[in-house]
Amino acid sequence: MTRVELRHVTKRFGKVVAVDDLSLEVGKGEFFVLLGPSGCGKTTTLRIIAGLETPDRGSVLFDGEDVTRFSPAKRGVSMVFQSYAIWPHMTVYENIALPLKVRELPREEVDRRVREAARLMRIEDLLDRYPFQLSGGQRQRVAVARALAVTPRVLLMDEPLSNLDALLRVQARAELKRLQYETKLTTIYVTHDQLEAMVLADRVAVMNAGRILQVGPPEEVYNRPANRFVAHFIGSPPINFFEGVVERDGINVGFAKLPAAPEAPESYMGKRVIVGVRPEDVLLTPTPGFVELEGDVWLVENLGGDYVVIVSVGDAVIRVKSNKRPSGSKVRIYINPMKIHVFDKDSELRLGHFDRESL
Amino acid sequence: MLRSLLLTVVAALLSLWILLPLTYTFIAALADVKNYYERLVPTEYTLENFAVFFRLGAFDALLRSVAVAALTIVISFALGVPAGYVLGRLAFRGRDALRLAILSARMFPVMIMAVPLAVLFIDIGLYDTLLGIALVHAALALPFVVIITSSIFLSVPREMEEAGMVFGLSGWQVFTKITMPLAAPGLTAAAMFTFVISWNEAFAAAILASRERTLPALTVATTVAGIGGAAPDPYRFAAAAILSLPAFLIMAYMRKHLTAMWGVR
Repeated sequence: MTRVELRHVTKRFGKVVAVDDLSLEVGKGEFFVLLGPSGCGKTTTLRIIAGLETPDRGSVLFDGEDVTRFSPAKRGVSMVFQSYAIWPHMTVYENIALPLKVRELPREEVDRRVREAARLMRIEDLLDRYPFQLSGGQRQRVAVARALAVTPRVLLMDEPLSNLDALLRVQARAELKRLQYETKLTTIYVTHDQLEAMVLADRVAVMNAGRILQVGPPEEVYNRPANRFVAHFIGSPPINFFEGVVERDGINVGFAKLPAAPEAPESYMGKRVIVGVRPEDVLLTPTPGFVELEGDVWLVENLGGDYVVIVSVGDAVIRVKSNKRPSGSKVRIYINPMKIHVFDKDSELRLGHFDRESL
Repeated sequence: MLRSLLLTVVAALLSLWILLPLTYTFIAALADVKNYYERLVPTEYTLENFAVFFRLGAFDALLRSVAVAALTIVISFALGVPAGYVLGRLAFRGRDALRLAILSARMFPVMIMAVPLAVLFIDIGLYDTLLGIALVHAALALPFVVIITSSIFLSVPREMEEAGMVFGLSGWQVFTKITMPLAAPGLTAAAMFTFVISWNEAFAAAILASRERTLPALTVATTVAGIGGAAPDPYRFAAAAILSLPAFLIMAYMRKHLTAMWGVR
């Protein structure tokens, strides 16, 4: 178990700043997820930790030791690549054994560790096969087995589930989580899938444009997004946004007046804000204390068990998550006033004064 | 329907283009000189034409040709593969210019270089040696080896090598245990190509050696520039057959290896 630290890391590719003065800390045995859209610098960050890229500025520390100039081989990390990078000219056994052999472990130890990793990933029957004889899911298991067999200081994963079909992905996701729980390996995991991040992470770092926008446990990132981008990126179906103005008796969003926090300072009066409301915080059933609105049903999307009801209220469109289909074309919706997210219109940062509920 | 018919016709014509001269070469090589010139397709056959060549030392020349080709592959690969790796893998200023410069080495015809080279080789004791011929052949093959191997290395996925680096392999281990095996099918093709370049080269081989002649050099010396003028056609066809047969066998053998690797078609 190793603590990983990045200090003011910057990496440019030509004129593009891939990672911009990024600092983070990953605790011993933590499952840490780097989440963000493609091109946000999350993979580059992972590759800097692996030693596959050298940062232009800043340093990488393992347990307080500066490893910035260490070659990948010297860092004692292992990695599951997005393409798995299983060596096609070797059997599964040889793939798992090669990293152990170059560490000059005795032959019996190599064999023991290969079989142990294979048992853990349930690929004992595949050890004599070549990669081209394996399915996508089996390849993914081989890649993970190879990464585990070396008992790395840090386990790095670059979108390891993105090449699997949806059903297999859910299963493999649960297995990875369980595996990390059992092995207690410090794990840094890169994904663009917010659901994957929510399920797997002890802590998530949401990235955009080479910077970390928010770090915290999934619940915190979900319940208290630090800015508009995080609020938008996390949650499915996506959060509803409305522009509004802070007034004495609430936030005027045009089609309604949402209750403002009583402790909002006087200086906020007349401030232009963005209000975010998650579809699951809007109900179709009357609830006391909620803000009641009337609207027209514009579209109903069937998600299987749930429905997303898209309601137009005045000029605004509101997505509502519901477990039943609305009966008519007119509908009454009820917004939970305790779950309103308010962001500054200019800086797009969360305005904490409007938070009603502690976590 | 019309398309596939057209395709078949074109394919047939192309096959004939290659096969017809080849077939005739082998038929004519077996023809008896006595009545060869009387008919379009010879009626009397003999192995005498081949026997003549083997009496003139064709077997020794063939062995020398194989040795020279092998040496050529060793030399041009020892120099060309690392150069190809650098050109294919590393991005550096002036890479495209260098690529062009390497290819431009082929601008100078062997005919112009052969005589000065012969003088030089006599001075330094390389004249009439297989190594001397192989060095010239390697010089001819080197630009192609560099260019071909650079694109082969380019086709090896970077992540395969990166996985090696992450999992503790040294730079040399990554190259020998991952990059080279993955590049092997392509390198085999490059070796075939180099073999053919050396095997077919007659001019430099004829000028740079008087006793240690390779098969093409011997053929040129005995059928074209032989004492008392040119040899009869069947002798020439026999020479052509002897020249092409080993190349066919080696190509067929290498091709099997080329396609049977890692179970990839």
